[in-house]
Amino acid sequence: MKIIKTSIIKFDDNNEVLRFYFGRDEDYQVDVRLTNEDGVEDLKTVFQLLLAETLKDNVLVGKPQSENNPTGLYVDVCNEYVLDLNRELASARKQIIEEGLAETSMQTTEENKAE
Amino acid sequence: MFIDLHCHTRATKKGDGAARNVTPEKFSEAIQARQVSIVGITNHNLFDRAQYNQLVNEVGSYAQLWPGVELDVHDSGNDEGPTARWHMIVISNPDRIDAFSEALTSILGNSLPNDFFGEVSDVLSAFLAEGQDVLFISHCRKKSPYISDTEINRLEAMVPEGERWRLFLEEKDLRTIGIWSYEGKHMVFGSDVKDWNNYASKDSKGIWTTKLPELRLKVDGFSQLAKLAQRDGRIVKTLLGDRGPNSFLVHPHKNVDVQIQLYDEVNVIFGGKGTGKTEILNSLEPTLVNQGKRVSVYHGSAKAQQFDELLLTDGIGRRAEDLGRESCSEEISELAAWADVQPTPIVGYIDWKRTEGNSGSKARFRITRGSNLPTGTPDEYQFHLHAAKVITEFIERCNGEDNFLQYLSKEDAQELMHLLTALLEGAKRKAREAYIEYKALLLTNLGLASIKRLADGKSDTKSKPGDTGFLRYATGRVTLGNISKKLYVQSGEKGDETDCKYDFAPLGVIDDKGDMEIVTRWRYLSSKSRTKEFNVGIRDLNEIRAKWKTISENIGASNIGSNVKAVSEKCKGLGVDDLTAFIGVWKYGHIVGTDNNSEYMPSDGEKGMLMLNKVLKTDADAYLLDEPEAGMGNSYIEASIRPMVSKRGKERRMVVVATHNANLAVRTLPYASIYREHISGDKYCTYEGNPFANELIDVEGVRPPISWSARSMEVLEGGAEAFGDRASIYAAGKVEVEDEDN
Repeated sequence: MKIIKTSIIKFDDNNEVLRFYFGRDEDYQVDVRLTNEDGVEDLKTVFQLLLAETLKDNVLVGKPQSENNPTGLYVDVCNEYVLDLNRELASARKQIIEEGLAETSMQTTEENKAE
Repeated sequence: MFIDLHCHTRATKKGDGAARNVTPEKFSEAIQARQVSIVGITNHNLFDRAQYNQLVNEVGSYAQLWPGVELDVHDSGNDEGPTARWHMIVISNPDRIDAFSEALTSILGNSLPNDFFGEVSDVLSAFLAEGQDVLFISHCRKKSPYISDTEINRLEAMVPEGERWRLFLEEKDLRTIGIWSYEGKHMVFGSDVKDWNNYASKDSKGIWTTKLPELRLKVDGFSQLAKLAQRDGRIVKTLLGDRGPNSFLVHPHKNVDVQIQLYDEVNVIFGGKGTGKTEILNSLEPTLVNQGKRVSVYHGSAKAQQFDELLLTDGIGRRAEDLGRESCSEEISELAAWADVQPTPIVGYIDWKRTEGNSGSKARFRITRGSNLPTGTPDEYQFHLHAAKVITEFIERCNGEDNFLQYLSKEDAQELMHLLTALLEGAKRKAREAYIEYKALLLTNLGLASIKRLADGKSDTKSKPGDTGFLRYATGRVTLGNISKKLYVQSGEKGDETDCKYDFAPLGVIDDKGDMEIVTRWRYLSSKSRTKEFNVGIRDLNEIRAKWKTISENIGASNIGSNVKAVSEKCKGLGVDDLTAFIGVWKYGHIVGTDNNSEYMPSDGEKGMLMLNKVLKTDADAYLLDEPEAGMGNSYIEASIRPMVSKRGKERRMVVVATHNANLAVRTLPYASIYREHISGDKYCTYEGNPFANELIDVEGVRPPISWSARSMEVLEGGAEAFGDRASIYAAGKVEVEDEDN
């Protein structure tokens, strides 16, 4: 199981983001801008990275941690969003295994047995 | 040319009326009036040589008179009794009149014409002896007293096979001999004149009262008629099986028109080099085609080219189904239209949360907070549907042409069908269930979206988005991976024999090597493929496949969209809209019995043999053969080509051979010989004739007729002296060989 950490950050200029931490050392971060229309492009990058991880393993996005006192509305939104995202990640992983596209065959076999 | 091979000039038996007696003057006058060119003098059980000589002298050069007799014969070995008695005419080559007369005298003995009854075997023995040259004509069917069907077979059995062409049957009229002749019997009929006063008379409609047959071809004498009889037995024209001639306008040179007569038989064009023989054939071909005839053509000088044309693959279809594959045109279209699913904007979640408290009633309407259900792909129901299709096809094969049930007892067959039916129902049930589940989920999500949209419209709120879009995004990539993988797998060789399809077209035999055939092979792109097998370059095809493979193995890659776009544009640019572009087609020569993929390229000589064989075996109405002897040995021409040419002629197909080869020009005994002679400068003369008439006549009627045999010997054999020398040298060799054997 791969855990992807997230956080909600409020910057000094009042822009707020939902940050995803990728990479072995969580050193590759993608910010989804919550206060900007371009947020969809940010999400595409997140989806692509999440899919790459889902092909390898089960993935769970962690509950967002608040940094620098973000707006309560955004905290509620991000919590709901991550709940939905985790549900879809689980379904996607199941589908990938069923289609035989999982990248670690040994793990796939084990998961099939578990099911 | 009218012929009368049953002609009485004397009343010799009791039944013969006096009107059968004829004077030389009256005889000559009658046959000239009736335009008869050949007459067989066939009185009952008598040959009056003195009268025959008088008749010959009186007629002069107008007609040929052949000595003969009409004998009463019987076959004592036949147990059919009285029916085994009939009249048999014997007609002799006039050059052998002494031998004929002598044999007849010994057969007749002291019998008077009215009393004679000869044993047929004695008659045959006497006239088949050395020094004789005769035709036997037996009355049959309506011509009484006639030979029975049983006796016809007995008679044939009494005559050596090589001499059976001498046996003819006589019917009463043209209509019946046409039918018999069509069935392969050698037929003829004569006047059997009873009253010379009527021999050359006509009825009120101007039609001859004495019916006589016409020879198919004009003949020069008894020997030429014998050649014609030996050739195919059909010496007279009948109402059935007319072979022409037909007139054709041909062009031996540009702007030169010549009218020639050709038969639905063997026709030969001969003459020196450059006399326009090939051009005649070339100009004849479009005329025949325009008449709706199927024409099969061979050019000796272009045999290699004609063979190579057999190996062309232009226009040969490529069908994925024939190789057990799918064409995948839908998949290529889907790939071209593919794009990543867009994520649901997060602002949708923000709007939902921001307006959540605006409507108390909506807060209680909790379904507006529901998420979309995962629908997956239609793969499962499609899988079950495919299984049901396969089972259905198998059941049809069990009951249909394959009839697999024949291998089981009735009870076992019923049991199998029961189980197969249950299997089919199971697969259908699963397909139905999977279909309902998949469609129900889709409809549920659609319904949820509708409810949310309606609820939003009735309140100052926004409902929660149905999903983040990730599952749909991932499903889109999975689908892309599956499509790309399918395209990659279906477009290339899988490494077993089922990847190839072969079509074998027999071509002919090559001495020492065996039967040769032309193989058409279809196979998918592989490491063994050759560029010429495809309409698209191999490098391009391999690049496309490599890209499909890359996409299928990297569905999580960030640059997948650009890869998909690149490969789709390449396919479009090359016109690859399905996988048939990856099927290579190749044609090659192959020796039967060797590995299917082993190729054999014949030599030029072998190509000629094969092509000529193919052309002559093609079912056509006309065969045009230009110098078929070019590059081939005389033994092959004699053993293979000449018999095939003659066979096609006997089948009433028009065969026109332009040749320098004596075996083809002479030994095929052509119905028409067209001779082209160079006179001087650009002047040429065209003659027509045949070996039976033994003359060649200028088609324009300017030059005097020339001898067919003399000109053939000169042009085809190098002259009488050369021919004679060769004959004597061969004969000497034969003597030496015989001496050696001794």
